[in-house]
Amino acid sequence: MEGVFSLNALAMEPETRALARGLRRREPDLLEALILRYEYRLYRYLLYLTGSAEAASDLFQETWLRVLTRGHQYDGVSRFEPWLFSIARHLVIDASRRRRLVSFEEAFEPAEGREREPRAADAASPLAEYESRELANRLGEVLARLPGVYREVLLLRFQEELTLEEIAVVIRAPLSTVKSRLYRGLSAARELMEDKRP
Amino acid sequence: MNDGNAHERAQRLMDRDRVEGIALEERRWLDAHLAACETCAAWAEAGEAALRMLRSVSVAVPPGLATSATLLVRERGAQLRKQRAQNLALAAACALSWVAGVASAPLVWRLFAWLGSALDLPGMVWQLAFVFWWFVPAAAATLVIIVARTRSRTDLNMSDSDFV
Repeated sequence: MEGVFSLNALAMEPETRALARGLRRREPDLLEALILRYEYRLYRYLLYLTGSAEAASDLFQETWLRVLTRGHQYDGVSRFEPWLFSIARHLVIDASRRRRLVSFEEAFEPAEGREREPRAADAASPLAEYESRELANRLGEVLARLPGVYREVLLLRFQEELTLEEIAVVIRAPLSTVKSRLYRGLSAARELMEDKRP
Repeated sequence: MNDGNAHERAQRLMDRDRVEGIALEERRWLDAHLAACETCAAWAEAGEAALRMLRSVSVAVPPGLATSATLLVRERGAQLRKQRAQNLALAAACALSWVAGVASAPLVWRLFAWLGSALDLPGMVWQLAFVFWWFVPAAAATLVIIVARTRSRTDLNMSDSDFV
């Protein structure tokens, strides 16, 4: 497609630096490419954090508007993901001050939208589909019962696969706090999983 | 090491392995302990199950989410670019006005002095009139900026609510 910004076209220089330059210039094609690239991960992160599909959709859009207006603040040295998740997290905090974020279960209702990154098992059999749904429900319940401070570090570490240092940047906390929250979160999640074991 | 301590150590190592990683020697000890201890092996399995779930479960993305975000961002980007161009034009006009004001100040000062004496006005009056003349362009520019910003903010809020 002519005129469409390609992240691969910038392979000659560090991608983060090219990203920072494009964000400073508010290049529409770059932003479109980023929205598509991070659609699933950002939405998933917001969904797990807020527990509401509606709130996650609203915050998804707000996050990208914030990326547009604050793009010049991205340094181009560190990875883009922690910066993006940091913006999203702040918006979640702002939103939770404005309204209560509830209805965690609706987040796992596949009838409302399309499935992304389906696993091979999804198409295998009705049994596999049922197990997948069960798995999602159990996870949803466990995460919903975890305190938010533990839930967010667990998501960033094990779902988004950020480093401990990157998580510290996202949640603006010392590394020691990140570690202790991870340890406590793991312990709490394990206990909840034991309770939920069929 | 008694059994209680061994279980505690194993659980600490399991967590540390997931968070920071553990040394080879510690891994060997942990593997040996898990092979021998059913309770700790069950704990390890429960932890792994939780993490497997977290990684593998997929969520449903609402249809058109990226498209609507892209449209919104493009529209806002266009508004910001337009606003920036307006601000630049205004800044250039202000700069030009300031340069012209400075360059013409001695001449205008003499003009106001002549008018003051011709109309037999007290010195304070024509000097205040000169100061007022000096500030007129800056005041007008400030007014334009305030009006433009208010209008742009209203436009942006309206376009957001239209979209969502």
